[in-house]
Amino acid sequence: MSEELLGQSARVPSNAITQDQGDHAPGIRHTRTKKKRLFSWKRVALYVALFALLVYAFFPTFWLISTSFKQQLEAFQAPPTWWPHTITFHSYAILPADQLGFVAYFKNSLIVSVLTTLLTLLAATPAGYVLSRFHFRGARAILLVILGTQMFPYVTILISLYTLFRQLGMLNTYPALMLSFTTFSLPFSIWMLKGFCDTLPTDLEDAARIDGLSRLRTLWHIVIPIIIPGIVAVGFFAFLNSWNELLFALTLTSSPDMRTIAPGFVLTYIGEFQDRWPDMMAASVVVALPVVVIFTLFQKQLVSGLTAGAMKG
Amino acid sequence: MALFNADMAPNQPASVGNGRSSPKRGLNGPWLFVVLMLPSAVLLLGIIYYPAVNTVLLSFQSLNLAMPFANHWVGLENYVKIITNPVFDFWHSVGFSALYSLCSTVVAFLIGFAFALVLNQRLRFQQLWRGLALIPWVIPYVVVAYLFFYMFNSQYGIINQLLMSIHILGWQPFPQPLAWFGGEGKLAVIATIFAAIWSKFPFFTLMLLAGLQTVPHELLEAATVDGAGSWYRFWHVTVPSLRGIIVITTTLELIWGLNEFAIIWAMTNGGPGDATNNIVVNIYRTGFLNENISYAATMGVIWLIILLAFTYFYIRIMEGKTAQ
Repeated sequence: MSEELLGQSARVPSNAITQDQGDHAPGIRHTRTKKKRLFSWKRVALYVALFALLVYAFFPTFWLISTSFKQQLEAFQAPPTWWPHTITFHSYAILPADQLGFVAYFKNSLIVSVLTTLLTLLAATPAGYVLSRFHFRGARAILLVILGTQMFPYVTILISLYTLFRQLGMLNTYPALMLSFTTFSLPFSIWMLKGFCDTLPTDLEDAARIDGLSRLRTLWHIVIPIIIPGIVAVGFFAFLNSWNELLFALTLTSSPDMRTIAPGFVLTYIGEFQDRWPDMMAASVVVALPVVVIFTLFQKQLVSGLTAGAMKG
Repeated sequence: MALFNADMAPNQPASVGNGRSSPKRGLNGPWLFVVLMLPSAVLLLGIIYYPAVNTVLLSFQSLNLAMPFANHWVGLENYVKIITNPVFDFWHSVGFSALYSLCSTVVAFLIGFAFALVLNQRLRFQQLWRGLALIPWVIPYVVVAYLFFYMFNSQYGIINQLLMSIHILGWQPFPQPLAWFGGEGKLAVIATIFAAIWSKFPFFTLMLLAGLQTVPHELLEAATVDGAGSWYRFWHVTVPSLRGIIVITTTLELIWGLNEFAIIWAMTNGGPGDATNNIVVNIYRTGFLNENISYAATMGVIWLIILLAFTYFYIRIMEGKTAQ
């Protein structure tokens, strides 16, 4: 399926796009000529490509939602049904009853993800700022050292973190999860925020300093409000990572009441309830929802923050 | 943070009587750098560099969590074993990691780029399409894994159903349902890569779309005036202006793909057999399921060296191309 979509779309839009940009650049007159030939083959090809890509992008999500409303038996039918014959909310209704520890997993994930996000932001924001504003040779070396960690395989760190937390009796605790999750959001976040600060002119800060603000107050009152999109993007990234994290969570928790969602899913649904597809899909929908909601709320800041940071960094 | 607030609190700038600060008021110069770097430095040292060094030390020992007191130094013995003994499945898992990462990144990049190009056009309901295209990005990996596991099910999965329904002039490429997670596991490899592609492409779409909006119109216009065709403009104007973003996004996705765990573990547990046993799954199995911490540490160190070398050359090559 994907090859077909790919072949089609890779060719068609690239032609269409450059043509199009050339067209509307000169101004209004051209837009009008464009309206006249509204039904051009290029437009048709464009919409066909869009449709094919959207089907690819959205179909699995559709399948997830559709299955979550099916009855247990219907999920096993061959051939599978596209829409639930009888829509049931049963799989959603049983979630709060906590039969599978779902509420506990959800709560744990939420706590750990929020803590990780806060810790990451508290550490990464000042670091990203100074790395962007200081240009002595050592600063560059520090930046390289931080970037280098981005290339570290986390499993290499995990081996030692596990033995360390074990010795300290910190397995199955929130701080252990929070600290270990921070390992992969922190370097990336510093780097992104540094990139974001690089895109900002220093004029405002200079003016504030002339007006007598100290550097820290300048950071707090002038810089942070401007870099909010970057902070939002980085925060979202840290949250998403923690919410998704499986390897560290699986290793560092052994008691069911400390499990986060990802290991909870793996150990619960696959172990005992392997065949309860609609239940699992309903739980999946609920798990994906917070991220989708946050993403939709902050989409604008997120996109500008992420891209500004990455392009400059 | 405490230091940070302490300096914020006094309202009179003059009262910040740090003897160490520069003639200007407030924290400044090297001390400002140190103070603001401190939280990150402590965290990086404590949870990344210290454990990394410790892992290297562990790789020269014989720590097995089942017998923690029989631990002693063994020199390079672990390295020799891991590299030469096929029991550890080391080179196969390195190979599978590379295959998985490369295939999923390349295909996800192409799909993501195509999507970005389409969404960069003026379309009706543009925001809606953009939102829909980005959905896979925010679906947790474990959910992606199970969703595709379900869709690839050999008996009641929708993918077999779709494949079997293909009839081209009486030719049916897939008359039988495929056992995706059985047999030698070649199909399981495809299934995991397929799931990874779906979960990865929106990142490319998001970044490239933002990049496309910064491609200077004057350049495209100038090229048009010079009589360049659309294909030429795409390759010689659009792609070069996106080069920076392309290098960064592909590097990140390749690295993330090489260290993938969640999708593979949740879908196949590394199986059938060792077919989808990538290096991270291998290390997890060795170190945490079989409790051979030192073997796992050794694999981790070799893997770290391979990755650093890879990144170095990859960035070198890409930067070299940019310089042309």
